[in-house]
Amino acid sequence: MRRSLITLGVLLWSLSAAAITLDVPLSDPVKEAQAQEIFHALRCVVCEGQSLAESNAVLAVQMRAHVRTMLAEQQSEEAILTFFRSRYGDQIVMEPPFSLRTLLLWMGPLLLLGVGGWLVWRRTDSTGEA
Amino acid sequence: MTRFAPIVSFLSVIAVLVVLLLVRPVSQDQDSSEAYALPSLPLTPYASKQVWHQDSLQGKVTLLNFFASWCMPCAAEMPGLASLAKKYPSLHLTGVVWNDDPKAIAAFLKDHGNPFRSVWIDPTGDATIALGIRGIPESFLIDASGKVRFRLKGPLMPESRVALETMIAQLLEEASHAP
Repeated sequence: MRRSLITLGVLLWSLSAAAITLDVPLSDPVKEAQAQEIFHALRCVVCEGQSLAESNAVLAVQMRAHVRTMLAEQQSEEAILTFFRSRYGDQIVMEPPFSLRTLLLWMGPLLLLGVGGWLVWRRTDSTGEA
Repeated sequence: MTRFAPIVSFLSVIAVLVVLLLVRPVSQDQDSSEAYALPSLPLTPYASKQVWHQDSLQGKVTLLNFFASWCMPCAAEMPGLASLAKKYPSLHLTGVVWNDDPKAIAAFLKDHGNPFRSVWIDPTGDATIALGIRGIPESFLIDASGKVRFRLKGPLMPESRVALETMIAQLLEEASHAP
């Protein structure tokens, strides 16, 4: 049991050490600022409501390294966002684009408010008549 | 009864919206809707000196399985993968290790069996990202022309196995007729 715990501890330590090694800022401050902007625009795919910038999940760390690599290869911010959207869908963007597929997501709250308001108005109106 | 009608209507609308938002098509877990070229995967060898050549997949039907030693569902699907390998000898079952330690992998393959023809490592997660993987295990069935034809998110289960085997048989059949 003790041996298993030690093995698990060493494994977790080595994995977190590997993750930290991957999270190295770019030497060019302009590119690094661009990277940070992209990290805030992308969602962590294994977390609840966190951006790539906020997450310490291994996949998020690897994605940050991937973004930095693409920037170092002179790829544009648009190209990087397109790459991630092509792999993970629109959900990976913190602000999903307005399209037919995301219509319900954008219009849902307004629709609910409208329907709710209409029902309250109808009820108040009928109570007033009585 | 009519007193509650507005509330019931309102709750019904909410219920419909919630269902529309939450219900995912089955194809998200077992996707065979669309064939796409396997992206370039920067894999490194595990316990060998081989070099990953994606071109070597041409002419073969390959099942690429992403796994790790700490992943319990991965351990659970190993016997299933082994039986697939036995049932379809010409299927190239290839393992890709994500986020793991090579020593732990050796122990894992010793404990749970090694169903793979070859095992590779995704050292930076670039292959995982290139394939849009969110979690492991995940498997990709690649046809003889190098196109991903079936994607299985999660472990191999009896229900998903039927769909996967149907596609394996189809791709092996296609490969046997290929020029």
